[in-house]
Amino acid sequence: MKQRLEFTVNGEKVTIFVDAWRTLQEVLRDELKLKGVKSGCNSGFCGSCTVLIDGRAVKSCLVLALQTEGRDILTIEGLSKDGALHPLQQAFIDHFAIQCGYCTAGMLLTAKALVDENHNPTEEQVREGLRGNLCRCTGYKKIVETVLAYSKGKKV
Amino acid sequence: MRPFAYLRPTSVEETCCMLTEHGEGAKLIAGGQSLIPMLKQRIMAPDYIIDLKYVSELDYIVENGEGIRIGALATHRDVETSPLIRKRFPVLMEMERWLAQVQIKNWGTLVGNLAHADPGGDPAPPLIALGAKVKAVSQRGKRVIHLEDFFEDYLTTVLEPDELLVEVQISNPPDSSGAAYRKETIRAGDNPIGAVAAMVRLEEEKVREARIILGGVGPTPIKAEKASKLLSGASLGALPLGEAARAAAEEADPSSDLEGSAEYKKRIVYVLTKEIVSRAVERALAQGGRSR
Amino acid sequence: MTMKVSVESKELEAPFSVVSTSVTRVDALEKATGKAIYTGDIEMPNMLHMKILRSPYPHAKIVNIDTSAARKVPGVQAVVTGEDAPSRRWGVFLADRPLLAQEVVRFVGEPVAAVSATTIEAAEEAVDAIDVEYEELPAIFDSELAMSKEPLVIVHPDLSRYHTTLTGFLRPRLEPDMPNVINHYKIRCGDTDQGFKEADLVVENKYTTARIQHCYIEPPTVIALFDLGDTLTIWSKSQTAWRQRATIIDIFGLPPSKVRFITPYVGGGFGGLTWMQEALTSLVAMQTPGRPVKLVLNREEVFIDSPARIPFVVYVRDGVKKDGTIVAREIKMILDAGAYSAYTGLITKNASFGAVGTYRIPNFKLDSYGVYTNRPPNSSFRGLGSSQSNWAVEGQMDEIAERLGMDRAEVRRKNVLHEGERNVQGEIAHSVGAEECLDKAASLIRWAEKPEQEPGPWKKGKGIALGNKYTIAGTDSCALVKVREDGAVNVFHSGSEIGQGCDTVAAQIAAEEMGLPVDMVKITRGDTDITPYDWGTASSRLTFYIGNAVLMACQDAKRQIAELASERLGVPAEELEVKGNRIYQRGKPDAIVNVPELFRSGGYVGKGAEIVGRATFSCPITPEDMETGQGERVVAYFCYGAHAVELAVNTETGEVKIVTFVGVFDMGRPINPKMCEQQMEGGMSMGIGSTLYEETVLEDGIVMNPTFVSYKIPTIMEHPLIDNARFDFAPAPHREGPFGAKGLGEGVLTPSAPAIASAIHNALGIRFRDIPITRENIMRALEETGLAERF
Repeated sequence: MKQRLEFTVNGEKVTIFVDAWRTLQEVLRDELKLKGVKSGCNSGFCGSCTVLIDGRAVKSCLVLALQTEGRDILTIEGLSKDGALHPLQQAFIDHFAIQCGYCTAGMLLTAKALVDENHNPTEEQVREGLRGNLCRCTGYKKIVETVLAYSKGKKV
Repeated sequence: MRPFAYLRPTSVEETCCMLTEHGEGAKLIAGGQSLIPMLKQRIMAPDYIIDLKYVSELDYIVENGEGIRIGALATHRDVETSPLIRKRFPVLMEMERWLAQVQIKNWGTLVGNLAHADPGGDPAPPLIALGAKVKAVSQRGKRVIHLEDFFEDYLTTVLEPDELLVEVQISNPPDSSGAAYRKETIRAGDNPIGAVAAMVRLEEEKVREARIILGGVGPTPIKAEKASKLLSGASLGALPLGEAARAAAEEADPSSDLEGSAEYKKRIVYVLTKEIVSRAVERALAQGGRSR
Repeated sequence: MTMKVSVESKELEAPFSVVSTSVTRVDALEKATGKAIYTGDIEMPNMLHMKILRSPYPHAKIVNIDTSAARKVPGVQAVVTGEDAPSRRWGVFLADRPLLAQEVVRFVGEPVAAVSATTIEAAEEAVDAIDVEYEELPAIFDSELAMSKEPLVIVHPDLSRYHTTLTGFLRPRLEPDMPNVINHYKIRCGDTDQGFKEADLVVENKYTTARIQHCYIEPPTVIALFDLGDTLTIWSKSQTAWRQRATIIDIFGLPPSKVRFITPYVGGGFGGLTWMQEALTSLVAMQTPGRPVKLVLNREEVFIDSPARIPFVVYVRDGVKKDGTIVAREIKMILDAGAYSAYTGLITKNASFGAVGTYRIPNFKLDSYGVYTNRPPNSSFRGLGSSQSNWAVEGQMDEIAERLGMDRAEVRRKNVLHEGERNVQGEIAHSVGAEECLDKAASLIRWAEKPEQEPGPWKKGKGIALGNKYTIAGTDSCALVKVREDGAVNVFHSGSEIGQGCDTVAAQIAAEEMGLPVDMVKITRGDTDITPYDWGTASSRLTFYIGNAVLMACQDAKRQIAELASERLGVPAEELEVKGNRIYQRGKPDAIVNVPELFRSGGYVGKGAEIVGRATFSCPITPEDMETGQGERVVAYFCYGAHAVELAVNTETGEVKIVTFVGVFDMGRPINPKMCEQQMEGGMSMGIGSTLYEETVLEDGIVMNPTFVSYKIPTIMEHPLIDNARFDFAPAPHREGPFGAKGLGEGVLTPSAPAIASAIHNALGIRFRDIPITRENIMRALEETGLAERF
């Protein structure tokens, strides 16, 4: 029997009925059609499914949806407001931190949470903070440069 | 995952009642960072999942005169950022740094990690080195267990099916003591090749007590008793580090796997033990107000 | 006489308006906002989920398959086995693989049955309920044993009857007395026996590489719909849509007009998306006309049955003069195809080019063999075998330097090809930036300075290596360019956007040629009903082939524009210049006609109805000489590059830390410099992974590490700090490339393993000839050479 889940997703209150064994990733992608939440390995290692729960990065494939009652979920779709890109999204574009794009949503959200908490991270702290997000395309260099530039408020 | 029934208690009492009723057929979930992968691979298929995330009374890190208590819902992140823990038990912050990725730490719990009893789990070795205890409750009552007696086997603890692990208790560290921990992995975040925790207590230029705990090199954490004994009573000017490290390597009981062969893992225990004991000694000296 | 062509830095600046500028990638916005659609994001009404049952044995007869219980699982719509699969087999070179095992399974993980159901859970339950009875057969796992004249196991007894699927210029050479050999490629140049007589030193070694995986983050995903009008539509994460389509048409005997292949954004390819899952999914979809079937491989399946990088065994024997000149080189390469050949037949030949591209060698002999075993199949991987052949050849250069007491960069300078010289296959080298790449890389890493050693267990070392990657000749790409009423253009091409930026390159080339800003170029890609033919996103060929096709299509469009304008201006079309929106007579830029003025209404221009430029770009190829491999045009071109590495090795644990990683590459002309950096940085990443961490661990044909935890691609922590990862260009423009450009995407990987091994040797004095060089391998070697105490 499906159970009721009420939470906030990208700023909007959502009420939905889900099976207990569904992960947050499945509910976001399949029920709420938020395809920006990616599904790279479905076993909690690649980080492409990362979303923010109450502002903290969590791998949505490792969370039962029903555990997020009352929580505030942010996916990549919730970053831009009224059509305007979040500065971190713009930074990823401007600094060429995107290639195939599949790790991007998770990487970006993890980076956002990192800088929200630590406004002036060192390179070492950025690397530690992004350890849970795998990328096969970029070698991470431009991603790290992007996050550092963003945290310093620079424009390209 | 195979379908299951989902239960959501909001108090410890309610949880214990559910555990009594469902016993073996139920699994507790807090952060689920270890449990959910197993459910996905269908290694486990419980009939009931009891979700602890709403038992808010378990969400604490508090101190009393004797030490610190970490509740079952405290996340790794809570531990890592707790000013209390930074002050009293910096080795635990060190442990959290080695533990894993930010996402795991934000949602997974320290007590949950102990209850899961993965032999590669980071918290157990330093906590055992600190002499920590855990408290379990059930409808039958409560008991406090020394963490060093808590692990029975691979993924197996002394907990009964109707018991809930509610907190870790760590007594304040004695004077002139220091602790250190490191895990050696192939890549950041991998399962350990080996991990070593050490707590060292000094008295008058000598090692009064040493506790060396090995992680990830056996089905449970291992107390390297021979190694610890070799250091006890040794004078700081002549610490038998090499000998103790070799003893620790011999006490390790690793299996060959994808992280390394058993022989290589023993070598890593040897290297780590020297390093960690040295660091613990340095911290003990610093804590005692002296310098070398 | 040797001729050096040096590219002066001013050639990198624009005479161009858009080319050689780092314009924002045209796909970046969609990807940064989560709006980019990948195959797995597509949902359709009535969609079914597909799961595959796989063989647990490396070699066995299928005695019986009982699907009755599976069919009864609620929600199951179709269950298929080898009996339902066509007898026509799938293949890239040799058609050797049935869609589902027929009579025999040949590797652990081979698909035996497939199920479609209304939910994933039902599909999984049905797969579990299929009962298969096997009779185990002996299996063979060693490629060198498998290629013997009387191997214990013949993996494909019907090999000689398989048909070939690629065009005529690629014919496999079977060896009738080596029944597991799928192709034997030969290069003969000069007289190696004589060459060895002249040598002062002979260096002979064996090199090996492990089976490694692409580990793209998006899993392979296919949706197939066989609709009620008998049209098959496929959406897939693919790199070779047109040729997969052709294979599917062939296998099922479908009318070509009724097969459509669509490729959305691809979340990482690296050569790994050239497999048969589209054909298999189509088979399942055909069981339920009108209902789309979706297959998503789970990560474990990807590690087991998605093509991996072919493990090589390479024997090299070099004859060298004491001044470092190579006078003779003999190479034998053995490629483990696994149970089915896929691209291995082609790579058996093409990997040889890695040993051809860089050096000038008067006497050369190469034999390359592709061999079946009962291991999971291998196929195309970024580099198409060149990483492996470069691993061996560059390792030789390093050792030659050591034995002669020469500088490792110098020995390469001594032998490197220059513009106008003939290589061992008879091609005249053109666009050869190798030496300049080497010089620049040496400079970036301060090659002359020895690394500073510090007290403690860490030992530092520096290494350097060259690499090359050919691009395949003899293939074709087409492009269409449609001009809109406002003068903007819409480019149509069938490359796959796998992250390499092919859409942006196409847009920049079109913008440059048409004289437009990039944002007036729209790209439509990846639909065989709409976008014209392309051979495939492989071999680093898109910039060259699709780039040229786009360029030529734009020129065709401009010709049409000029003809339309000629009537209005009363000037012959040949005297007109078309630049952006403006058409004018050369020398009289004031009297112009705008493109919008050519249109009547709604995209209609009267004569010709629309302005659609079209072009096919083909690169010629010399017909293959089966005995000598000689030809005027064997490859399209070579991309060149150099890596230089400084690293530290912990002599107590064997851990390697990359301190500095430097790369300089010759891609002819960087169409988008920042995107070229992206490739070079990515090449570093795969280089670190493939050299130090990655291998598929196989025991009796079983993949022991099919997860991201147990198969180790480097995380961010295994990469050097950003200031210590430095990349630069040394482009040597190619006369046939669009604006001089060549490819880059694979070349960026080829020097990595030899450069890292060179640095490890510099640090420890120990030579490693097998990759990956894991920390435990290093520790063992340190113990064996007495540099560390035994434990």
